[in-house]
Amino acid sequence: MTRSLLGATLALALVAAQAYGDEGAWRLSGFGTIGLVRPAESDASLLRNGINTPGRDGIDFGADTVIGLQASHSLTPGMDATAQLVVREDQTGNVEPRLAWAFVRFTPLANLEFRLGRMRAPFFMYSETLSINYANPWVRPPTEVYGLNPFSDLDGADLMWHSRVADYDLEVRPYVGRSTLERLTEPATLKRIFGANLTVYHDDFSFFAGHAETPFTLPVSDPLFQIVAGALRATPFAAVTEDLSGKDGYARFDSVGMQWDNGDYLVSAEYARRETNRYIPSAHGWQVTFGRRFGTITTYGVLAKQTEDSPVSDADLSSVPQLQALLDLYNGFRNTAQKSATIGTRWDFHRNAALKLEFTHAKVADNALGSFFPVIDSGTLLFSGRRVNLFSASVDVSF
Amino acid sequence: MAYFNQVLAALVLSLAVHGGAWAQLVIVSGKNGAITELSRSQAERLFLGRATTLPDNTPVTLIDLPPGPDRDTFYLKLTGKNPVQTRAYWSRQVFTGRALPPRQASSIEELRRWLVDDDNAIGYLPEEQVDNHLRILLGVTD
Repeated sequence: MTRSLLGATLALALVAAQAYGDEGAWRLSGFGTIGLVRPAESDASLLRNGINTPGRDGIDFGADTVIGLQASHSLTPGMDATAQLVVREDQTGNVEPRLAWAFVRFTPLANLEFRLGRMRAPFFMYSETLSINYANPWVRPPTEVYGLNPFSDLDGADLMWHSRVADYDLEVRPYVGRSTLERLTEPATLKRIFGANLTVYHDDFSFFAGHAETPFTLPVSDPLFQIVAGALRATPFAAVTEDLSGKDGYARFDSVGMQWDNGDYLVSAEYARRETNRYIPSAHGWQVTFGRRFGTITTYGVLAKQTEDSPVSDADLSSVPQLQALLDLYNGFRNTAQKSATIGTRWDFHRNAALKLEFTHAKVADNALGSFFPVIDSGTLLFSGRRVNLFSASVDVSF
Repeated sequence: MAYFNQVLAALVLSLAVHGGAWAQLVIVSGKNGAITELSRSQAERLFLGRATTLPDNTPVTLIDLPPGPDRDTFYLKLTGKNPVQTRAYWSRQVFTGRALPPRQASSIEELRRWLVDDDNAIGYLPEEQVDNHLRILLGVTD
């Protein structure tokens, strides 16, 4: 598994090295990360919701390692096309190249762009650069915020309108589309996404606000669901299963955030919320990052917290305690709430490469997984209330 | 001795950065190019990838110098971003499909050639390197 990932990474890097260049209207660019992460607890592996395949013991190369290649081509004045191929581990355990971006862009007016195709779903402030670790200060964007929405693709269209008011650059961006997330069992789908973002740039400062909503499907068929649903169906509470799995959910996502970077200091803060009617909990999360640059060295600290607002199902089954316990376990297994403190260092040791080292101390919320998944056969089910330390290291490149 | 060399290098560098007219960088186009005027704020937005055309909808092709002090000084003076910031920022612009990366010339000679060949191209170079095939659009000072 790890070997195939490293093999694919190397192969792509070789192709990239040969193809890289600047031939007229073609622009080729690439990015990549070789990352490793190691929880200090032997029964915990890092869970990046919607991104990696957790569950193994020891050092995990799969959570952060990624390589991407991008080609852009100017077709006519006012029209260009971009495709980005990304190789990384996905949540089904596969390492296969997939298209992360593939769009045609029309620029009918100087301040208006229209894009059609596959883009990154821009739900939160750093959603579009979730894999572009070189562009971000940390090894990975804080899971407390970015675990709230595991969907990365937007298959559809967006509009970008740019405007300048006094010294403020505005970017208004409505978007529509759908998104599919491959899972070990059936895929989950955001069926009809309507969203809009506003970004304001001013000197060293940028401000972000976004909202999106969509009907969604989340068919669950894992063993825990089978046990819980089987038990529920044998009782008058059978209807509760309708809230655990199905194709009739509705979700809203909100985010507000800011970034400030004057070259010596950087600050980043974001609040994000996921509001759903079923299948997964409603939850919100925030992160605050402070960084200080000394030439090519950046040191940073992060505080982050995710809180569950309502569980998957709040049905009262206390009349059948065993059933309540099963439902609590199911709710806990969908609850990724935790808080964490992180310190880290980034060293831009080369024009196109940075080394990052990070240490995170996380405390998982009550009845929750947090951002950890039990190592297979460890006997652990949940990490409720536990403290877990996490070491991460990565080398990020951009070329 | 190595220490004194370092101090000397630092002094020379600070002179190069702050030393006035002889180190002046200018934004240029081809003499007969389509771009005849450029304001500082337009230049800043173009080289930050926040605009890809001029207000009259003229598309602009950006050309970078190869990595080095001229390029770093240019971005620092025009956009206020140091080299580390600039590269992280541009990787964000490129890989989110906001902007095409600037074409990178391998030398000042190649930059000059591309500017003359492409009517919509703009680039930057030290003022004393400007020849009569180029048009100066803007001086870049702090």
